[in-house]
Amino acid sequence: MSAESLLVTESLTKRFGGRCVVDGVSLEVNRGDVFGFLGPNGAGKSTTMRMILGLVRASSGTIRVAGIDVGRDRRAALAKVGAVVEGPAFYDHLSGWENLEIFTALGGGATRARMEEALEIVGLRGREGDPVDVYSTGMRQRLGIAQALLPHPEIILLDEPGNGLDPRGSLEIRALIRQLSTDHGLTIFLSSHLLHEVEQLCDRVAILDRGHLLYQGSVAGLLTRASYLRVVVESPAAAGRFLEGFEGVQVLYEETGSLTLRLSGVDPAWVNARLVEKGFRVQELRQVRESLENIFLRLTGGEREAAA
Amino acid sequence: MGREGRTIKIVLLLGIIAALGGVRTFRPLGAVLALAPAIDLEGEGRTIRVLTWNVGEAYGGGDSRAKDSSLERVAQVIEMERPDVVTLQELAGRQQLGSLLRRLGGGYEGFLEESGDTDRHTAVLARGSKVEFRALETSTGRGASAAIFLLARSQLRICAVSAHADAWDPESRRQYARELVDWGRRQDFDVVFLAGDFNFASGSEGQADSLFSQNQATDTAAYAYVTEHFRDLGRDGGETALLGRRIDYVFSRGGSVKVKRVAVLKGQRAGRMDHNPLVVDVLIPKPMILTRR
Amino acid sequence: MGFSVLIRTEFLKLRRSRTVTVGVVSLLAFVLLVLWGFHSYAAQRLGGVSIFGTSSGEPGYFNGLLFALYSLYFAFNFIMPVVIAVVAGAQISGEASAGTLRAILSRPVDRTSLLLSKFAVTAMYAWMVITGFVIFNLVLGFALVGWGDLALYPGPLGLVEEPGSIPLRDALGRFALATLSGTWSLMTLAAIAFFLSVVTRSPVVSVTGAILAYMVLTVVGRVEFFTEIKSHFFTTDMDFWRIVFKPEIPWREIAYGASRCGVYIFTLLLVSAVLFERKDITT
Repeated sequence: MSAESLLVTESLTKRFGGRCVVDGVSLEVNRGDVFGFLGPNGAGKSTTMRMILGLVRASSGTIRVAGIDVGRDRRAALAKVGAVVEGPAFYDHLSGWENLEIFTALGGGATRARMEEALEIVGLRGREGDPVDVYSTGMRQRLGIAQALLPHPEIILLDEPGNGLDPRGSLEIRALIRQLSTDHGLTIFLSSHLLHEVEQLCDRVAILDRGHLLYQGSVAGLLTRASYLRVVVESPAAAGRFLEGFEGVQVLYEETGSLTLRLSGVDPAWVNARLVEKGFRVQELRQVRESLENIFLRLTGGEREAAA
Repeated sequence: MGREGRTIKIVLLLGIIAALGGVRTFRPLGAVLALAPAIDLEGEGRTIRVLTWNVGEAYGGGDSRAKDSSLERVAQVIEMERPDVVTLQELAGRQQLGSLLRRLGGGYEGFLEESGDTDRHTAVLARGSKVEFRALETSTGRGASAAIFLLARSQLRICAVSAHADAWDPESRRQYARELVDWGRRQDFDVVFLAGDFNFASGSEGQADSLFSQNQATDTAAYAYVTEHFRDLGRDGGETALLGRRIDYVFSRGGSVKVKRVAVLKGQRAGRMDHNPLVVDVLIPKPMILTRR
Repeated sequence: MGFSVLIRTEFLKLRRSRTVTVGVVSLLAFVLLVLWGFHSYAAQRLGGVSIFGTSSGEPGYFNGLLFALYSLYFAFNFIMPVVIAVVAGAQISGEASAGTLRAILSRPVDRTSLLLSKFAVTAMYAWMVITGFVIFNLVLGFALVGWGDLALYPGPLGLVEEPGSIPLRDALGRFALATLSGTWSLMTLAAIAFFLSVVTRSPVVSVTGAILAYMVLTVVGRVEFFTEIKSHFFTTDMDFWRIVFKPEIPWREIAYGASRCGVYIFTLLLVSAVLFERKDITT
C-alpha cells in the first residue's frame, strides 16, 4: 500500500451460502482519485461497497480506510467515509433538514453552518424545509451526497449515482461529483454500470465481473492497452500469417488490403520494421482506440453475448 | 463489536440473571396471580358434586349392614347423579365395594376402609385425575376412608373423607368428629370435604329426645367444633334419615366454595334403608381455579 | 457519539411518524367507544339514569376512576399491544426495507447501541402512550362522570373475589403505578416484535407475527381448555400489570410477574443484539 492509498482491499471475498459473490478482490484507491468501479448488474459491486462500509461481513480478506482496518475498528474507519449506497434512503415524512440532523448526529454531529454549507454545495439551499417525499430523484440524490459530505469525509462512496436520473439530472450529478473532486479535494469511489459516466468522471477504474476483478488501473491505460493497430499492407493474409509467429501480436481480422492487430507489449514501430524486413510493403500504420464500452463488453464477456 | 456494545450486552446478561433471580425469589407461595378471566366453558367455575349415603338398614331387623340387593339401587342413584365423589357408610365389606364398582362400569375408583374394629365400613368413590386413597384411623376404634384427587383440568387438590360416627355413644361421636376435623386441618389440600353419617342429634330439628342419643349437649358441642373449622354445606337440605333426622352431613373446608344445590334424594331407599342420599353441588370459583399456578 | 444522541434521533424519527399518529388516533377513538359503552351500560343498570353530569353530585360506583380502569383494561387487551407492536416490530425491519438502515449503519454507529436506543425509545413511547391514555381517561371520566372511590367487584378484571374499594387518592397512585407496570408488561411484546424485526426483512412479517402471537395466546389463554398450559404463555405473564389495582398491592406477585417479563425482555434483547451485530445488511 502506498502512502497515497486511501482505500485498500486485499483478497476481499464474500460468500452467501455456497455462492461466491465477490472473489478475492484487491482494490487500491489513491487519495484524490475519482475511482470508477465498473461492472454489469450482479457483478458484486454493491456487495463490495457494503463490505467496505461494514454493512456486510467479509468472508475473508481485509479492508483499510486511511490505514484503519474496517474489520477491527469499523467506527474509526467509517468516520473517514461518506456514503450513498444503492440510492439515497431517507425518512420521507421528515424534512430534508431533519434527515440531515439525524444522519449528522449518527456521524458524530455537525454544525448548523456545515449543514448549510453541504446543502449549498449540492444546490439544495431553500428546499431543506420540504418533506423528502416531495423531492425528485435528483434532489434525493443531492441530499444523499449532502449527508455524505457532513462529517468532512476523506472519501465518498457513491453507488450508482446516476441511477434513475433523467439526462439533465445525470449531467448535474456528474458536475457535482467533478466539483467535489476538484474544488473540495475529495476522493470519490463510485460504482456504476454507465460507461460514459465513468469515462467522463473517473481517472482510475476497476472492472468487476461475477465477483472477479478483471482490470484495475487508469482509464487512459485501459484505453491504450486496449488499442488496435490497423496495418494497410499488400497481401494482408501472408502478412498476418507472418506476424502471428511473434509473441505479443494477435491478428484480430483481415480485410481487403488491411490487417487489424492487437498488440501486447509490442511497439507498432517494431511491427513495421519486421514487416519491412520481410519485404511487405507497408502503406499505413494507424492506431485505433477501442471505446470503453467495447472494452467493457469484451472483458465481461458481453461481446460474445452481444454477438450471439 | 465496540466497547459500548460489549457493555450493553453485559448489562443485558446481568438483566437476565437478575430477572431469573426475581422469578426464583418472588415465586408466589399459593394461588395469587389474578389472571384474565377465562372464556367460560362451564359457567362461573367448576362444580364438584358430593353424594353421601349411609346405605345400611334400620336397626331392629337383624344385620343392619348394607344388603347386596341394595347395591343395584345405589349404583342407579350414582349413575343418575354422576357425583364427583361418593361417600358411603355401612358397607359390609370389600366385596360389596367391588360389586358396586363393577356395576358402575369403571367410571369410578373406590376404597373401603377396614381398619376400625367394626363390621360396617366407610367407603369412598371418586372420579378425578391422580386419585389416591387413605384409610384414616381414630382413637374411637372407628376409621374413615379418604380420597385425594386433582380437580379435572386444574391443579386443585381435593380431599373427600367418608365418615361414620357411632350411633350410640355421643362422646365417641364427638371424639371421632374432632379427630377427623383436626386431621383435615393439618392437611395441605385446597378443599377438604368431610361427608357421612355423623349421627349428631343436634342437627335434627324437633329431636330433642333423640331415638339414638340422649346427649344433645355433647352433639351440639361436637357439631360446633366441626363448624368452627368446616362449613356445613347441606344445612338447607332438610332431614336425611327416617324420623325427621338430619344426621348426614357434607362439611367443607378451604377456598371460597359456593353451594349451588343441596338435595336429599327421597324415594331412593331400597329395602329397609333408613337414610336418603344427600347430594351437594359446590362451585369452585373460577379465580381459585385459574390462579392456582 | 453517545447513547443519548441515538435516543434523541430515534425520537426525532418517531415524532412525526404516521404509525404513531394512527396509533394515538386509534386510542382516542377507542376511549370514546368505551365511554359510549360505559354510559349505556350504566344507564341500563341505573334504570335509565345518565351518569354524565354527576360530578357535583353523589359519587357512585360508576365514576371517572372506574371508567378509566375499564378503559385502560380493555385498551391493554388489544389496542395498546397492537400500537406498541407496530412501532417495535418496524424498528429494524421497517428501516431495513426502507433502506434507511443501511444509511444509518454506513455511519460510525455501534449496532448494539443503535438497537438498544431503539428499544429504549419504544419503551419511552409506550410509557408516554399509557400515561397519556390514563390521564386522558381520568380527565374525561372526572369531567363527564365524576369523582369517587374506585369500587372493585368480582368480574372481568379478576382483581377481587369479594367487593372492595380503593380510596380516590390511593387509586390515583395506583394508576401512576399501572403506567410503569403496564409499560414493563408491554415491553415483553415489544421485545418479541423487536426480535422478529431483527430476524426478518419485512416489517409486515415482524409486526404481524408479534401481534398474532399475542392475540392467539391471549385468546387461547382465556379458554378453560388451556388452563394447564397457559402459565407457559408470555401473555399470562404480561397480565401482572393490573394487580396493582388489588385492594392490597401484592408487591411480591408484582415482582414475580415483572421478573418473568424481564426474563423475556432481556433474553430477547440479548439474542437480538447478537444477531443484529452479525447481520448482513443486504436490503
